[in-house]
Amino acid sequence: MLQLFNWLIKTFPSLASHQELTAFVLFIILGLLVLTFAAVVAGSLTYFERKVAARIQSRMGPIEIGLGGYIQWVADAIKLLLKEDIIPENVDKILFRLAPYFAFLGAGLTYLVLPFSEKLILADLNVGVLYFLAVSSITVIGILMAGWASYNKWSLIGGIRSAAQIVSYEIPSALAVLPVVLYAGSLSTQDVVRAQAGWAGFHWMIFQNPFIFISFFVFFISMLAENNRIPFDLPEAESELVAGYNTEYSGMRFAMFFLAEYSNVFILSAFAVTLFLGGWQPLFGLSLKIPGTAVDLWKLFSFFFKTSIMVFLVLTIRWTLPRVRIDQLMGLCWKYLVPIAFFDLFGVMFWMVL
Amino acid sequence: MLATMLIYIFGALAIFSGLMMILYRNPIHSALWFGLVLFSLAGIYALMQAHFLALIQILVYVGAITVLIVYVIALLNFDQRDLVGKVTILKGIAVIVAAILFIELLFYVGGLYVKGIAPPPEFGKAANIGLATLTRYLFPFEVISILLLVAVVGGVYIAKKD
Repeated sequence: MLQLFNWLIKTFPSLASHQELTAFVLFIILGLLVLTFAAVVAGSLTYFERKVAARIQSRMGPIEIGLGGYIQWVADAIKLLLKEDIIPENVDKILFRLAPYFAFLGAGLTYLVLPFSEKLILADLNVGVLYFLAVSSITVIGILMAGWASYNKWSLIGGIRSAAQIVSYEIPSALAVLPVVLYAGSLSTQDVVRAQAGWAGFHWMIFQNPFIFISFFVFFISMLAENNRIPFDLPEAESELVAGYNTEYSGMRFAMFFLAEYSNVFILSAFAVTLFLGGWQPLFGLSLKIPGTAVDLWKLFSFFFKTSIMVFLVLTIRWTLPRVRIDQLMGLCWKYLVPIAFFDLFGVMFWMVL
Repeated sequence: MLATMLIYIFGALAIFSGLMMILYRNPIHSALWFGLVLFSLAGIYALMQAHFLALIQILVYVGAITVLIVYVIALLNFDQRDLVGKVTILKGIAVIVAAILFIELLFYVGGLYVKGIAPPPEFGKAANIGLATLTRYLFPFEVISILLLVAVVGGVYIAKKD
């Protein structure tokens, strides 16, 4: 981001006298690009999810529109755009309208610190990891708002469950990230990835230390729960709550919730890769002889390849495991994950001191 | 220039949403305006180079405290008519305490503003905050954690009381 700004100023000297304006316009353009990217990723993920689900259930999934049915998600998006946006009579109108955007805000803002490759990152904040944890917690406000504003018992129960779940699972996920931060010695996402350089993935965080290996699973499980994915999707448990907090939503507002959910799947996988699985560190190290500029592309590919595998894992979990009960969910968090995460943290501390 | 403008925007937003928080009759709306107050404060911290503090503000206050306040209000489900009117002694005390706090802050912050203190270059870095809490401010830090522990024990006691 800063490099891009400096490059622009250098290449077009006429911009130098309007630095503030240039920065402002650059912010807006990059913001729009990020939103577009988020929408395309989320859309593609819905297609991917339907295909995976279909294969697991011995079906074909979408095959009609586009190559292998790929354009199906665009068709769905257009359908949702054209649908009537029904706002029920008794809802709290302002909150009902605002809630989907808050739900998406938490997912959309995290793209800011996601290191796609060595050079491709929007803002290399010196507190990037913390930023990720902080911003992703905004989603819950949107969900709670939606649940309360809908004036519907199912929605309210869904929203309340979601709030309890997300606030609880934030603790183990933050604690599971701490060992990585300790090992990397920095809160910047780029520094965390740089600390994992090495041949063929033996220097990935997950393999550097047995405690971090456990932390990875704690992080992954609590992120699944934070994003309301099955087996932890109690806020929208269809068999009990109709559709949970988004029962009353239709049209584009419903699509925003959908967008937030699938963005979160991508973000969850991408951060699991960044923090534990080497981020953009090139696969097979640099033993592969690739010419100059292709190295960057290879890094980008490595990142997306690993992220895709994680996404596939998340989707497979969704379609193969049953939903847990609410007391099991809370018990798992407070009785198992939090103590394990603390144990890991102390373990890593001792490991580093000794 | 952009940063100054943003500080004014966040400041105005904080004051506006603070007023809205008091003036709204619907408790859920008040709680959400309160969230916006905390969020704009986080924005001001970030613009003053205290990035770590700003993110902790969002993580703890916007992401957890506001959510829990909304959570409790949504569960209480009380009648809105109970919330209007009636001047009580408690409310009078609350007004006096708030006024004293406001005047104190006005004098303190006003004094800083007149002196025009510029932050040191390493201000607000996560490493410095960690160092400060573990060396110079270790005792207050530990005392606060005991305070939190007391609150947790109290919460468990009340929940177990049946």
